[in-house]
Amino acid sequence: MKNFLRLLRADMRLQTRCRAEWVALVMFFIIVNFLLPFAIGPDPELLQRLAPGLIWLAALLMSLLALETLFIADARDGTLDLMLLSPLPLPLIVLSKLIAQALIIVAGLALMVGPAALLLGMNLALLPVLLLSLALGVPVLVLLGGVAASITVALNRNPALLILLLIPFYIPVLIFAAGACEAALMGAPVAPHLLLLGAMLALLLPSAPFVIAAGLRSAEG
Amino acid sequence: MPVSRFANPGKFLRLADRLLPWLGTAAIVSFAYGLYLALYASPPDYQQGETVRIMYVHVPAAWMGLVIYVAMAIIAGIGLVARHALADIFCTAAAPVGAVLTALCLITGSLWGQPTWGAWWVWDARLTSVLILFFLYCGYILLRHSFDDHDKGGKAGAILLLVGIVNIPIIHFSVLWWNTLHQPPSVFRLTGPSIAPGMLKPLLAMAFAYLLYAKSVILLRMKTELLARKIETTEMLDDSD
Amino acid sequence: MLLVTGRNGSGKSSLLRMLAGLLPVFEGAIFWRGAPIKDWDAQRARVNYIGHTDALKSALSVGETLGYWSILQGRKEKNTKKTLELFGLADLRDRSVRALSAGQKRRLALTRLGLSEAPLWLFDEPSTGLDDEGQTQLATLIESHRKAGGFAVIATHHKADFKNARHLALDQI
Repeated sequence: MKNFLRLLRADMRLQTRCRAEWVALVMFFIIVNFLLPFAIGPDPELLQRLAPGLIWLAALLMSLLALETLFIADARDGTLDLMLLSPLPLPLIVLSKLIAQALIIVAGLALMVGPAALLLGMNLALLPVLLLSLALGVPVLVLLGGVAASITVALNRNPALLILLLIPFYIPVLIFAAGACEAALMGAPVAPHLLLLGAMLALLLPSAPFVIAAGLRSAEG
Repeated sequence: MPVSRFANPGKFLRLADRLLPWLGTAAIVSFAYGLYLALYASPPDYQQGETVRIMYVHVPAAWMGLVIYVAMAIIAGIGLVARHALADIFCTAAAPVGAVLTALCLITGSLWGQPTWGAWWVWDARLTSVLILFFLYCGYILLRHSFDDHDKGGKAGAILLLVGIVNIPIIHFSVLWWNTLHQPPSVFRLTGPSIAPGMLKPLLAMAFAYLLYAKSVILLRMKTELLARKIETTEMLDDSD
Repeated sequence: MLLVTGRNGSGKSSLLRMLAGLLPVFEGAIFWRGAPIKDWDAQRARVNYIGHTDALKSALSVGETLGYWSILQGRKEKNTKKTLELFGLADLRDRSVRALSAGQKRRLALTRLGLSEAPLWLFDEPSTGLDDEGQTQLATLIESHRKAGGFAVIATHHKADFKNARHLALDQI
């Protein structure tokens, strides 16, 4: 357990330090939200209706792009070998990396969602639901992304493949998360959507690290 | 690179050679019968008229697309655990068949939707789920072909299929949920509320025909895949001398 | 000490990775102290593997890198000064990895040797990018390791850099 916390701290340090990559992701999020009004016109009602879904979409794309820094970078610089050789259980090492990435993305989104909501004229009463859905949904995206990254780690970096693999798995998350925001917008119960997201997280959190560990080991052949 | 696994695939090849002509003929015969029932011997829908006959091509294709994926996932799982080489051969052979049938379902769905609802695509729960299934197939095929090494590729593909099979009920449920939340429930359903009895028999006959077709094509593809890999390993051995 | 040589593609890296337990063995068996290896976790614990990539993160400092490697080995950050001195990097402890020269990076990668007491050292092209000073430091370190009863397997093109070694030429098998 102590090992895990040390590892987590080290991974968080690693994640927060790679400034250049995170600036790119932040810019991407901002651009998506900033460019939409130019694409569809500044009609405030339309923008307000689209806002939660759009913010979620931008968050999803950000998570996809962030996957680069998950195992793929490690495979390229040789750290993956160290992880495979470590006496620590590989699923534990994997879990630490996943949690570190999920925490950073959620923290970043927590800061950016407010301004994005203002830009799009989103009803601010929706913010808590939006943030909660992100807090539940982004870890699910990161866990799923980890599985996809682990089985493609032996291939040359091909972001298109990763995205294609993940689309079918990301869709349910998007449906439930955006559904929660829609429900809040219409005054319908939000709990079912969030509970479903929570269930997905509860299912994935204990199982994904083991699947990912198996994927990383099999990448060796 | 374990050469030994494919050193003697003779048993399977011989079995395939014996089965193929029977399966092929059976497939052709059942298609003939199924199409006869579908195009002649079944009643037109009282609402949609003759266009409902597209259903006999569209629905079994969807079923088959799903069945093939499930079969791939199960066999891939067994292959991972038992380390059986034929599992990956099956999956690589079956994936394009499943993908094509799924695409057929989408195209026929589109052709059906146009005269019935005036739109080339509707975000109907079933069509949307099938579209997502199509993406699952494409993802698998692209993943599998990105690997030169069949062992690594097979393992990666198997993991993808296993995670995918768990996801299918989730996809089905979430798309249904999404559909009912955003649209009135009765509008976009491409079949009527229940299937008239006269329509069930052709549907099942076509489904059976699709099954036989899929089996024969997959078997044939497995045979060619096996032989192709055999050639590959022989070439590799020759190179390293 | 065993030197493994051969053309590119002759299987040097693969052999080393099999010895490390990173690549599964398809046919045949590998023996440790006379007994065939069944428990690969134990084998991985006996090994210190230095691959041809440096396993460095440009976001960390030299000292933090050693700390990260120690954590990956399941222990607290050790006495970094002594380890860094093995390859003359002690005064670079707070320098960012990004600011190191190629030779310094290679030497930093080699300091992993000082982080554990594993008996079997495996090297994949250690001399690539290594300056002369580093090469002497490495040779000295391997000597003392052998005297202490350890074993080293080195895949290399630079045979002359390592003396008193047995030789395995993979392209002549």
